[in-house]
This record gives sequence, structure tokens and C-alpha cells, in this order.
Amino acid sequence: MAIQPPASKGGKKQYNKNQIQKRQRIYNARSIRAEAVIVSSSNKSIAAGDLSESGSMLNVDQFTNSRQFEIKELQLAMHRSKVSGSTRVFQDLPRRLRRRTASHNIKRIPKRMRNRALREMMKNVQEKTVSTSAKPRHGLTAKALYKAKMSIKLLRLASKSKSMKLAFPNNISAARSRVRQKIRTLKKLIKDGKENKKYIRKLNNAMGSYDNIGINKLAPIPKGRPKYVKRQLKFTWLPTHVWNAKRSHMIKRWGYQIPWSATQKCFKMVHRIGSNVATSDGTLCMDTSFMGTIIINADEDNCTFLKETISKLTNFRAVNSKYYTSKKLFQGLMYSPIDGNIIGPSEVIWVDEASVILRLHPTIFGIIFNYLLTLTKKLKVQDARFSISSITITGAESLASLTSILRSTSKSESFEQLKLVSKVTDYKALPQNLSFGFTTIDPRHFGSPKKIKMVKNALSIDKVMELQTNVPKTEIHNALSKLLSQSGRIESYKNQLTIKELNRRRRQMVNSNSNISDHGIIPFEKDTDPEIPIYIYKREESNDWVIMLPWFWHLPLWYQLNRIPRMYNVGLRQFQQLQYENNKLYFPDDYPFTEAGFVENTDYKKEASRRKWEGKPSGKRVNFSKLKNIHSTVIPSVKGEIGDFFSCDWRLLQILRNGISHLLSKGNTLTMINPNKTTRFDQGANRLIEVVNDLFELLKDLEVEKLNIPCSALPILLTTKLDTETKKTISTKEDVANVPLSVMSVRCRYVERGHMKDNARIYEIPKEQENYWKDKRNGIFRADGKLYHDDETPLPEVYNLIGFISSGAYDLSIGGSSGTGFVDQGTLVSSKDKFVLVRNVGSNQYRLAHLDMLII
Amino acid sequence: MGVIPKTTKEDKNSKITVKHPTLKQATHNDIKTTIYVKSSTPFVSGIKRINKFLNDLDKRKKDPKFQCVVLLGMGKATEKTMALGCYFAEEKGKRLEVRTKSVDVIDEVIAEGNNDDSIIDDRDRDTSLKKRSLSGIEIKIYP
Repeated sequence: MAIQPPASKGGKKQYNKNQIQKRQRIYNARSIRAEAVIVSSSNKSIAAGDLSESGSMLNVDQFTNSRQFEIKELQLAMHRSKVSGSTRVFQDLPRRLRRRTASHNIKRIPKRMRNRALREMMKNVQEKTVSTSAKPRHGLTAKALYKAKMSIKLLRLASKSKSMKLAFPNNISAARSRVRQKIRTLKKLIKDGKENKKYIRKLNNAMGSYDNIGINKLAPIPKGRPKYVKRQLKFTWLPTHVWNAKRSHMIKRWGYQIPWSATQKCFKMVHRIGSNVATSDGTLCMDTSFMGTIIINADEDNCTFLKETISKLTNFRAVNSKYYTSKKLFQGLMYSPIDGNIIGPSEVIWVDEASVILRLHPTIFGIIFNYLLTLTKKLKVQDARFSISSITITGAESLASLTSILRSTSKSESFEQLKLVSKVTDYKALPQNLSFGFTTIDPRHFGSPKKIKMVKNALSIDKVMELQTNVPKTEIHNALSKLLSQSGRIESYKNQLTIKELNRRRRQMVNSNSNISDHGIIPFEKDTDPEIPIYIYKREESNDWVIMLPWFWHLPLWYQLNRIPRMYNVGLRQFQQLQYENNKLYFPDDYPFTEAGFVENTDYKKEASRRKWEGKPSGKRVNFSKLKNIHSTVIPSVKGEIGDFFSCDWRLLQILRNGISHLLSKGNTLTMINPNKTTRFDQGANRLIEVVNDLFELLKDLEVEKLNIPCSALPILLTTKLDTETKKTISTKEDVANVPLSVMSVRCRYVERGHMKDNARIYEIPKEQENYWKDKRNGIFRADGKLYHDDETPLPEVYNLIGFISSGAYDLSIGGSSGTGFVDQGTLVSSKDKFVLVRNVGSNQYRLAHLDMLII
Repeated sequence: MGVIPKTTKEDKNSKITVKHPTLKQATHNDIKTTIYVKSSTPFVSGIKRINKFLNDLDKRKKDPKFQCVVLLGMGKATEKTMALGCYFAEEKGKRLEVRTKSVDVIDEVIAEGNNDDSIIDDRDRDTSLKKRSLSGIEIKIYP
């Protein structure tokens, strides 16, 4: 409670009794005692026991003792004033657990604090939220009342038919049909259900779970609850949508509503837990059901055809014996079967010779699925987007948290292995591409998550090594084939219990058995209880675990998962952050060499940041076109910043790099401008390319008349090999815009201070400035021994531009700034040492950065 | 522990694709009291971190196991770990407990008979696991 000044004007503030007391309390709390030390007896003129005013010699022990006393007093005073300051008990809670409603509703406060909170609420005579039993009075007109009642009626009927295990007819979930029509249908359905009509389709559970697969066609959008049908017309909800909508910021993209970022600030927390650090002591989880799953089956004759197809899609990689025979997860690029271009990242899991799972990002799902649909004569292609869901978890406690909510239904070697390694906090120590597959009991059987107690030192390095040789292949295969077959999934929903029924069973268990053996876990009954097939695999590339399970088992697992202490939910933004910290690329933002990534960069992100910039008043934004001292030579066609200000301008890079090799190919030297003429045209009024300036003019032409000048669809192409052979020759001037530039993925890290940002420009070090930057690398120091930063750096030329940073930021895992980017492959081949200059957009400061090549 | 077996010629020739770190099974309290020293850890950063951990020790469990900061370093980082320990012993007058250790790590080496030339990328080759022993040091710094 803040002290408020009284209403009267002037004079001293008048405090009431309470306020005076409080002031006194704070005053007392802040007072610090000091120890008076008796002066050493060496000074004979002062009698022993006297206190010195003027200062004199002290004994060492007296001196240290009194300093010790003062430090203790200071600490005590700090503690006292901290305690006296806080007034309400919920202010002691950590930020993460604070609730705004805690000041009204006692249930938001942890139980151990409730008594005190209640007393405080009474003292403050504060309004408490009390549920009223009186009927709410409405001010509805007859029409509105009828409408409201109808929608309630619809929901009642829907829940009734659900509890009667009746499958919804299609028009209930068809959002466009009318309410009264729906009610009529439901009434008829319930009536027919009661009479046990033959044609009524019944489900095998009261939760309304069903299997939603598209065999040789796209799967229909999941029916979901009738109440929320209209909200999913354009963007489908994930199973955890309602849960996540309360706790995360959501984005609508790629046909889904996806958690983007947790509502609470979590940048550092995500680094501490999810990144590759030894101090991680928690888990991050994310609903990744939006990743599209395709199951491809082949009969015996077509096994080789299936292998060929996958081989074609992954550029011959995913059929190597490591993946095909040893059944390990393949993570790599997916290539277009039509033109051989890279589409995006993918995951391939071979189940056996005749079946394979593809997991794809929703942007590229359509391309691959449409291609596979053309092969349906030989293969059975299933769209399992809405029948198999997945959760991605990362962090040191991932496996420990999984084992605390999963139990295998029968004795399982794979589950034993999972249990064995569950306490390993650094899962990089485990063999590559580990996976587990078994059938588990309903996680809701646990009252709360139960940690598995392990024998101490049960795990040795030899046992870890056995994980790779003793793979329970048949067990994993059985679980996987159950998960992948429609009948297996439907079987897993059999007798799926509602919360009500589960609670009834828990109550029975508690009543019947006073000493419960299994710590409050509802015992599993082999014949009636559902068995959930589950597949867990480790991903090397992104350092996390993926759990695949049937769609309608997702939510029960998710709820239990999030009851585990130190489990935090994250979104795509955090996944992007972790990829960045792991030196990995994030799709689609860091994949400009694919169509999806190019569109993301040049359309979405560019538009968004351009609008943001335009929204600012002109005095408060960077005026990019008036930037001075960027390059050592100013060319007339570019004023200020080069290229697009709001994105990585790959087209500029293509034309610049290709143009320079075109200009140099004739054996000429590079000239910036022709001082006599601005630009020259040939007979067909096409621009001649003779100097560097012409390249920028060509770029301007491209923007204006896109169709008249031939240019490649994608300005850049990824190469993974560093050799001169792949370099394409640019002979004619048409090739400049038409031949895509070969780029390599690199990681730049600042050698000294500075902060890299997205879309930063990468320059090579000009030959004549090498010595200066070499000195800079070793450090130029001031006389006081500190690094000297303020010297004027020599500027490179505009043609020294060799690439862009696609995502750059401060990297907590190295304690410095770094960024992922792409650099012209030709310059990497010729350069000796791996140092470059990086410059942020809208700045003329060049920073020295070290360059590492990334393997994708 | 015991005698570290000598590496044979074949062992040396087999190509390592992945070097796995040591096996860690740390609890929450372990994590907040243990520091793994890397060869790239800056010396002063190490000191600051140890100081921070020492200050936070009273927040930990009263178990004597967690009433000290544990420094672990192996291989190339052993020397730096000892340097950090010495700083706290000499400059700060802390009590140290030093132990030498032998640590096992796993390497993924390319499996025999997997020299298919058509495979370009080493990542795509089948691997087998191989154990390697390293010597390391554990230093406990008491407040």
C-alpha cells in the first residue's frame, strides 16, 4: 500500500497511525549497528577501555573481527528491510507463479501460503470472488434467448451422442449447416442409437475419438467439438489448442494455428534449459502436431520401387544402409522429384522394407504429397496429419519426465532401455539416433507424475554402448506398426475413459485398498484398458526427442507432461532460437535457397519490417538512402544502403557476383563507373554491361520489367562441396540474371565487439586491407591495456559483397554475437583465411568476423 | 578404472565421426554445484562462475555433498582446471580437495566393411561405438 499524501495543501504531510507505524518499522529495519572497538593499549596516554576518537593503531584480530561484525550487521539490515517491505504473501512467489487473480481468489495461491493470504485479505477488508448460486438474470429478447437456448441444446445433444459412443455424421462438423438442422440430425441419431439401428456407426469409446486418415487422398479436417467448428474454418487447431491459447501467443500459418512463443518472457530460460549446456535442469515441450506425417506402404513386389522413390526424393541419401537396414532416423534435405531442386528439410523413418514414414513441414507437405499421389498405382500413400500427432521435448530432464508419466503395458525391453537412460542429463552422450517403441498405459492413470526410482550407479558406459547393439527391433517394429495402421490406432482408442470414469476408478481404488502398492496409479487391466502405441526418437540435428502417438491420445499425455515440475511450454520462436544456438538452420527462415524460404524472406518478413519502418515518423527511422561512408567508392546508381533494406537481397547478390565474374571473364580489370557515359545500350535497346555500375542499373531494370529480362526463379542455389568444378561460368550477359548463384551455408562469429542483426551484409576483406584486419584480429590496444575500438576502419568496395546473414543475434551459448548466413561459393574457394567483414543494414560500421562452414 | 588399453594401429586408422561427451546423471543440486571446465573457458570467466556458485551454496541442500563447488576437467582442460583451483587455494585461501579420475567416453567410428564409395557424406555411413578412456581431474572447493 503506497503512502498517499493527504488532501490538504501545503505544510508537512500528515500520516495516519498506520502509516507512522510503517515508517517507523522501515526506519528500524534499515538501521545498521556498528561495533565500537577498544583502542589498542599500546598508546599509554589513553586508559584501557577508552574509545578512540582521533584514530590510532588497531590489532589485526580486532580489526578483522569488527569488519566481520559490520558485514554481518549489514547483511542483517538488508534482510530486515527486505522482509519489512513486502506486505502480501503472494509477493514472495517467483515471477513465473504469480497470478493477477491471486489477490481475489485464494485458490491461485499455493496451499502452504493460503492461511496467511486469507488473514491478509480479511485485514484489508477486500472484495473476494465468491461464486453466486443465484440464477443470472439476462436481458435477452425472445429471439436472442431462443438462439442462445438452441446453441446450448445443440451442445447438450452432441455430448449425449458422444457419451452414447455414436459417431458424428458429417453435417454436424460442416460449419455451414444450420443449427436447427444439426439439432434435428442429432436427435435422430440418438433415437436410432437407442433403438440399436444397424446402420448407425458406433465408436469404441465415449470420448469421441476416431481415426482420421486419408488413404491415397488428403485427410479431412478433424471434426472436433461442434462448439468450435466455425473457428477452424481456415486454420485447423492442434490438439492442445485451447491449452496453448491460454499460455502462448499463437500464429496462424500454413493452415494451422501454431504456438509462436510462450506468454511469459523465456529467452534466457530457453537457452539455459534447451541449449547444449551442462547446466540444463528442466524440459521444454512443444506440440508439433502440425508437422505433416505421410505413411507410404508398398506390397512385396513394389519394395524396390518404394526404395527408388525415397532415394529420388532425398538425393540417394535416405536409402543408405544406415537408414534402410539399421532403421535409423534420416534427417536431411528433400529434393523435388520433378526438377531436382531442394524443397526443404525432412525426416524419413524406415519401418521395414515395405513401409516408410515421412515427416514434413506443412509448407512442403503439399508438394511431396501431390507427387506421391501420382504413384498410387504402386504405393499406398496415407495422409496421417490428423491421425498421428507428435510432441517435441528437449532439455536435460526430457527422458526422466517421460518415464515419470509412461509405463509399458507388458514387459518391454525397449521401455527398460528408456528407463535405464532416463537419468542421463546430457543426452549427447547417448548413441546417435536412438529410438524407443512400446505400448504404454493411459497416462491419466497417474494421479500425478511419478518418478521412476533407479538403483544408484546402474548405468555404466558399457550399458550405453549396448544400446546400439541390443536394439529390440521386433518390439519397436510392433509398436510402430500398431501406430501406423488404422486398425492399431482404432484399437488404442477402445474403452478410452472419460475423466469422470477415471475418477470413479480412482475412488474405488482408494476405498478398497488402504495401502496402495503402486503410489496412486490406477492399476492397468490387461483386457479392458487401452494400450497406446508410442514411438520416441532422438533427433541429432535439433538435439531433441520426438514422441509420436495417436492423435486423440495427445491431450492426455500433454496434460500429464505439463504437471511435471520444471517443464515449460515453448513455441516456434523458441525452437528457432535453439536451432540458432545449435548452429543449425531453421526452416523456412534460414532456407532462402528453397522456394518456401525465398518467399518467407522476400515476401513475409520483408513486408512486415517494411511496414513497421513506414509506420514510424520520418525523423525517427533510419534514412537508408542517405547513409554515407558505406563503401570507399560511391557509384551513381545507388544512394546510401545497397539492395533491399528489409531482407537479404539475394537477387542483388546473384547479379553482383555473376556480373563480376562476367566482367572479369574477358580478362578485363574491374572498373566501377564509366566517367564519360552513364550507361550504354545495344541495338535492341538492351543494357550493355561494362562496369559495376551497370549491374545496379540491371537490378533496377529487373524490378521494373520483370518479364522482359530472363531471370532464374531462385537467385541462389545451395552447394555443399567446396571445389572449383561446381562454379558455373558466366559468359554472356543474359547469364548474369539467369544462372543461379552457388552459395554455401556459413556461420559467422564476431572476433571483437559488436552485435550482428538479421539481413546483415557479408563482405570479403579486400587484398590491400589484409594487413590492417590482421592487426585488428590480434587486437589493437590502448595504452591502458584495453582494446582500442575507435579507430577508423578502411572501407571495402561495393563489389566485395559476398553474402548475407539470414539470422543474426547475440548468441548466449558463446557469449558473443554470431549469425547464420550464405556466402558466394566462388569467393570461399579462392579465399585463404576464413575471415570476413560484416555490416548491419543501415550502419557503416564494419566488424571482423570468423567464418565456419555449416553442413546441412 | 585400471590400466588404459593401448590403441592398436587399426584403432588409430578407424575414422571417428562423432565424439560423444561423458555420461552425466546430475540432479538439480549437482547441476548447481558442478562446473565443467572446457579448454576454451576463459580463466577469469571461470573464477567469476566459481565465485557465483560459492555464494549460492547456502541455497543448496544442507547435504555436505553439496556444500562445495566441484570443478571437473579432463584431457586438455586439466591444466586450466588446476590453475583455477590453485587460484582459489592461494589467493582466496579456500580448502581444496583434489582427485584424479579416469573417464570413459564413447566414439562413433565408421563400421568395418562400410567403405562404399558411392556414399559421399560420412554422416550416412553406419557406425559402431568404441570406448575411449581419458584422464581428468576433480577439484572440490570448500567455502
